[in-house]
Amino acid sequence: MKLKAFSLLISLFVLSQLATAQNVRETRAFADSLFTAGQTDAALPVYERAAYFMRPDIDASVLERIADCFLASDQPEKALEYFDHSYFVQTSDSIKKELIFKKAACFLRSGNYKYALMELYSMDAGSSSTIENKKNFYIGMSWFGLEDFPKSAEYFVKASEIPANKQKIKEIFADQKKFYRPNPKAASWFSIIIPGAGQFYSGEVLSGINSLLLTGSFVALGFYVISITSPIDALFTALPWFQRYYQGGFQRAAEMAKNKRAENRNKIFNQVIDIIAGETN
Amino acid sequence: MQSHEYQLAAAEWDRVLFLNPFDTMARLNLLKSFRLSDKPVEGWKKLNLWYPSAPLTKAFSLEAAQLALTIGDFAAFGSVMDRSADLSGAEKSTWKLGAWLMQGDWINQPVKSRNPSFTVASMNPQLLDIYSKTKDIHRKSPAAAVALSCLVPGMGKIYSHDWKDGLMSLLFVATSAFQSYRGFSKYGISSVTGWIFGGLATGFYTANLFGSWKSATLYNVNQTDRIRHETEGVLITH
Amino acid sequence: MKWKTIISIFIISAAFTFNAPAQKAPDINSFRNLFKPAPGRPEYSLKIDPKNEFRLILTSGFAFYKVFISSQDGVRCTFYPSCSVYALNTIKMNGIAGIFDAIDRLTRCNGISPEKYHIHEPTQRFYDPVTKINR
Repeated sequence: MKLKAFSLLISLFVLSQLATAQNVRETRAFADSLFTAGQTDAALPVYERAAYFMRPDIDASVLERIADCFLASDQPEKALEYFDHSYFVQTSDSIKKELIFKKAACFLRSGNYKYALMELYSMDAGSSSTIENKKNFYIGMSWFGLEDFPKSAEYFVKASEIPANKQKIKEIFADQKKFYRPNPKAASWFSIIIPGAGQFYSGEVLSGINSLLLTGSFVALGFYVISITSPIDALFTALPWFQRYYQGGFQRAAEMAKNKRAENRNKIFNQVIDIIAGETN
Repeated sequence: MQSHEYQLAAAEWDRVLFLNPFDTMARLNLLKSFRLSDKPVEGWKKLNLWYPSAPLTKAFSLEAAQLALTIGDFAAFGSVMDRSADLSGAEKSTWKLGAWLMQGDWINQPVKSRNPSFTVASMNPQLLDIYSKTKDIHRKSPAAAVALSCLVPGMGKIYSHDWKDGLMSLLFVATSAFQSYRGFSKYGISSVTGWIFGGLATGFYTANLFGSWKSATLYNVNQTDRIRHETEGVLITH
Repeated sequence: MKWKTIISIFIISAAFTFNAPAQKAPDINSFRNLFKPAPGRPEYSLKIDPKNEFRLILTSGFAFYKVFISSQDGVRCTFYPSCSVYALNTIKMNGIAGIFDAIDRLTRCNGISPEKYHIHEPTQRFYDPVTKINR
C-alpha cells in the first residue's frame, strides 16, 4: 500500500516536471510561429509566458523576441529594457552587435539620439563592411535627429557603397537652407503683424483665413461696442477675447511652421532611405 | 508571485492544482493570485466550489474575507465570519470593524451613534486609529449646500470645504449681475447688454446651485474613499 | 508528377534566391518616416448627431467651436477632458442638468484648487471626468 502511494507520488512528480518542460518548448514554438507570421501583438504574451516558465535562466533569444514585439508595437522604452537584458545574457559576439543596433533603434524611435550615438560609437564593427555601412547609416540618423545635418550627410555618404549614390546624397544635402524652412520664429512674427499671415507662410491657408476672420470679428465687435457705449466697455468685453485669439493665432502659426519643417525634413530623410535601401548587398 | 505577475502565477497554481487537486497551499495561493490580479470574483467562485458550506479554517477565512472585501460584497463577508471556525473573537471583531470602515455607511449615521459593538473588542491599534478619525468627519448635506447657495451664491461650496470654488462662483454671479444691472439702469429694459449679462448671471446662479450639490456629494464620497483606502492598507495583504 | 515536383521546387528556390540579397533594405526601410511629426490625437469626435433637434444643435455647435474657434486658441483649459468636451459629454449623458454641470465646470476652470484633482499624466492637466448624475 505504502509502495503504491510512493510510486504514485514519484510518477506525479515526474509528470509535473515533464509538463513544465513540454510547456516551455510548446509555448516557445507557438510564440515563434506567431512571430514569424507577423502577429507580434499575439506573440508577446506567449513569449512572456515562456519567459515566466524559464525563470530565472531566461534564454537570450526569448528576451530578444519579447523586445522585438515591443518595438513592433511602438513601445521603444519597453523594448530597450528587454534588449538590454538580452545583451547581457547573450554570449555570441555577432548577435551582440545586432543587439546594439536594435538598442540604438529603440533610442532613435524614442528620440534619444545622443544615447543612440553612445551605443553606436562604442561599437566595434570589425572587418565586415555590411556592419560598417549599417553603423554609418545609424549614426547618420542620430545626427539627423540632433539637427546636425552636415554631419549626418557625411555618415549617410559613408553608408552608401555606390559612388553615384554617394553623389546623390551629397546633392540632397548641398542646400542646407531647406532644412530650416519654414522658420517658426518668422511665422510667429508674420502673424503678430497680420493675424493669419504666419499660417499662410506655413502653407495652412484655411487656418490663416480662420485666424484672420476670428480676430477681425473681435476688432469689429470692439468698434461696435465703442460706437454704442464707450471705449471702456470695449476694453472689458472685446479686448480680452481679441487678445486671446490673437495670441493663440501667432502661437499656432509657430507650431504649424515647426510641424511643416519637420515634415520637410522627414521627406528629405525618406529620399536618403530610398537611395540607400535601393542598394542590395 | 514574488515578481508580482499574478496572472501568470494564477495559471501556474491552477496547473499545480490540476496535478494535485487537494493541495491546500496551492488553493490558497491560487485565491491570492486571483485577488491580486484583479479577478477576486473568480477567486470567490473557486472558494465556494471547494467549500460550499463547511466551516473554514483560519487561513481560508482570512483569504475569503479579503476576497469579499476586495469585491465589496459585505453580505458575503458576513457569511465568511459566520463560517470561520478558527478565528478568535478579537480577530473577528477586527475584521468586522475593517468591513464597517470600508463599507462607508458610517458617514450617513450621526457622529454620536457611530459606535459599533465590535470596536471595543478589536485589538488592532491602526484600525482603531482610523476609526477615531471617522469621529471627526461630518457628513455634508447636499440639500443644505443648495439652500445656502440659494441665499448667497458660493456659500454651499464653502460649506463643503471648497471655499476657493465658492468664492469664484460668487465672483462670476456678482460681476455678470452687476453688468446686467448697469445695462438696464443705463439704457432701460431694451438694453442688449442687460439681457445678455442677465442671462449669464441666471446661468451661473443656477449652475452654482448644482455645483454646490455636487460639491457636498463629492465631499462625502472622498471622505469614505479615503477611509476605505487607509483600511485596505491595514487589512489587505499583498 | 515528377516534372511538377521539379518545377515547383525550382520556383520556390527561385523565389528564395530572389529575396536573399535584399537583406539591407527591410532594416533601412523600417526607419521610413522616423522623423515624421507625431500627429496630435484628438480626444473627441466631431461627428454631428442628427437624432433629434437638441442633439443636432449640441453636436454641431461643439464641432463649430472646435473647428473654427478652439483651433485658434492656445491650450487654455486646466482640465482633462477640456471644458468643451466635458460640456458635450455631460449634456449627452445628463440632459438638462448637464447644462448646469457644464457651466459649473467653467467656473471651476481656473487652476486655483490643485489639491482637489489628480494629474492626468499624458496631458499633465487636472483630471476631472464626466460622471453620471444620480438623482
